[in-house]
Amino acid sequence: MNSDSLVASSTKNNLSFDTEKNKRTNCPQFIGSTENLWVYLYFPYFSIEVLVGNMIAKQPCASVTKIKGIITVEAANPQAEALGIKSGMSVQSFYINERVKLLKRNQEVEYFALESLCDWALKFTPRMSKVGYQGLLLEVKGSLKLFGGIGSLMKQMVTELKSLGYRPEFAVAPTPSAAVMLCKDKPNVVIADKTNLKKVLSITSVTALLISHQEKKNLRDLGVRNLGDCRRLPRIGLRERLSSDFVDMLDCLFGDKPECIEEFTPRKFFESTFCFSSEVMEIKSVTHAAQNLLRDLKLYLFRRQSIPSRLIWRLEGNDNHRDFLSIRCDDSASQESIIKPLVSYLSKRKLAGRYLSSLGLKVLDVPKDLSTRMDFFSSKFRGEKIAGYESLVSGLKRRLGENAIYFLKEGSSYEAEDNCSRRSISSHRLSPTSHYHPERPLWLVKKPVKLPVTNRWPEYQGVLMIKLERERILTNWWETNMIARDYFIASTACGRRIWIYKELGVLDSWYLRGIFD
Amino acid sequence: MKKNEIFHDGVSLTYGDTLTTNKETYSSTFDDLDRALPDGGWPRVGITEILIPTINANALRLLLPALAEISNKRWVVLVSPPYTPFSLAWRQAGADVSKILVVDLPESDSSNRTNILWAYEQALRFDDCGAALFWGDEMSTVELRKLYLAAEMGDTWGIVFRSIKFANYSSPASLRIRLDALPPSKCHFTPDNLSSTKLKGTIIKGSSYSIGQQFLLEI
Repeated sequence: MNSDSLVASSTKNNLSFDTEKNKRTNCPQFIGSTENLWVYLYFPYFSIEVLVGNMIAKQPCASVTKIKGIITVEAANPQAEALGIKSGMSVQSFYINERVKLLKRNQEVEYFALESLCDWALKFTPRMSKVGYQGLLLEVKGSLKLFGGIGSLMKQMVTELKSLGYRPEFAVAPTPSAAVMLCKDKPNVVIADKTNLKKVLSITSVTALLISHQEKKNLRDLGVRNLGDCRRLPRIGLRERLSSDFVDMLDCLFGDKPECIEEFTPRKFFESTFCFSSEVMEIKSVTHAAQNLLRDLKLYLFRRQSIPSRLIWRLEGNDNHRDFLSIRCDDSASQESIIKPLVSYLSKRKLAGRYLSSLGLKVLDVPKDLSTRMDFFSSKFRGEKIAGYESLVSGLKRRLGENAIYFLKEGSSYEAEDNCSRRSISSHRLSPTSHYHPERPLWLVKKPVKLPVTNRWPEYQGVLMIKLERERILTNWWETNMIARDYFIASTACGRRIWIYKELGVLDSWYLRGIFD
Repeated sequence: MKKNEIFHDGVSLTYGDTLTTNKETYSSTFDDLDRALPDGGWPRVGITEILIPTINANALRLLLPALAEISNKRWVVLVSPPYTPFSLAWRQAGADVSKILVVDLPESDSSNRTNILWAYEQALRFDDCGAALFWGDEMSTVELRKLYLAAEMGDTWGIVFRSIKFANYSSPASLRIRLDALPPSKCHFTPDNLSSTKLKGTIIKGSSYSIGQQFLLEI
């Protein structure tokens, strides 16, 4: 870890590290530590982001949910907040601006989205835990060296999350509960060791604690303003006045007591749903949803380094009618080839006048799961054999195109050298074709290259030395494309052997045809 | 090569290098080369990296007899060759040209590089592929490692031709050979007999006794 003092700017969504600022404000320093280091990623706009993705920045949006029969704002994006809309507000209590888009909160979608984020986060660490519906706790101590320190690790995380359409807040601390608490009280703060954690927590107000209002009031009544005051009180008295749980929580915060964290277990299969804010029929909206689902699937598959053999699209309509579309795929399948059957199916559905309320994607058979096989280089990770040349060739053709693959069969190229009758002509003898097997170059140039000629002598990378023996090819007299050539083996000045020919009856027409490796 | 030692009290010391191996190999048909190669021939599985000064360094001639032998039993796949292979030359060398498959993409760009590497990996994983040849250039250690694993999976001999400038880079290939073309002597330049070039080869990675072995060939 970098021994320089660094501190993360607490400006929301603006990650920057400033050593000078750190010195001035006496903020925690990064000093090597052998303890755990927890990153808490909190997604304040998660309920909106999972529904609209990157569109969140364009329009004021708020997610709403029904609490005791009252439609209440769950989260509002910065644009909506600027209009005075805040979390916890009832929709009836404010004038609904037409520009504000109200989205019905969908916890199922949030659940699947958080699962996908866990899949994404597994690239940084295998130790993680979900916190509620919109938070992730990652233990990153072992990953710091690999990612170049906590600064670059956090930058990478935030950048990637932004590209996925999320705006996270984070806090880094040696204990999980401190990371969670500090993320809400001092967003984007990084505390790397317990000494600094104790200093920071000592001056943190008790209002930051995740306890009930009554407990906070009790603390205020005791004259306790911050956690440092709390720790100075006699523990037995504190237990009696508040509770044992409260004292345990304080110990966990400061790292004096271990915490029990529910570890994330990777899913055995992939399932995700995209719910439309209103019922749709347009291909564009569905394609957008499909792309989002495939992005989540990609995160899931990335960790497993594998591909499924079959995908199932689930299309749910306004009439609660569900259609399932199963698509076979392999490693040559592209995103377009997976979405294409869905689009053509939707066109038929559109003709039937049926709207779509949600789109789901399910993958049941992912063959490999790294969570159970941690040795990357064991034989289990060497992929599958490709059995039969038909499957090799069909796979190659699907991805690279028909023209990219060909078999090296004699005569298949229809080159003049393959098909014409040949005979050797030396200065002394004329050999019959049947017993003559002249040396051939291993390579042919794709198109014969015309050679420059000086004093009737061809040149290629300097003056050529040409073997006296020549080979003549002649097409049969009844063929329309008459070919008459003399072939020679020549050597360049640097000793490279080439195969050249001269068109008979045409002055100075020498061509490079092949290369002897 | 070290010799085994027998001590007076009956204790013998056997150097690991002298132990005979049961590894099957393909004979290169060049005696000097076979002597220099680990286990006395080209390996049947794994990646062999041939580092050449230019694309045309007669490197393929070294492999041709072995490739011809392979093509009579299993497939030989050429991925991204520098020119079009000439079937007659392969047939002259004794190869079954109907078992030679060529993968070639028209123009090389960044997306094609990924596709070519993918195609080569597929060829290595193909269970009936005896040898897969690849003309690559800049490849990361991770990519080479993946190719090595693919070759082991498919029991395939992978041959990668790369520029000599990568000789000092680390590589997971099990065998690495550096080839240098010697300048032609004047006696080669007689119009009656245009002699082939001379090659000097050095084994820079292989089993311990073969490292540093050199051979001189006229092809």
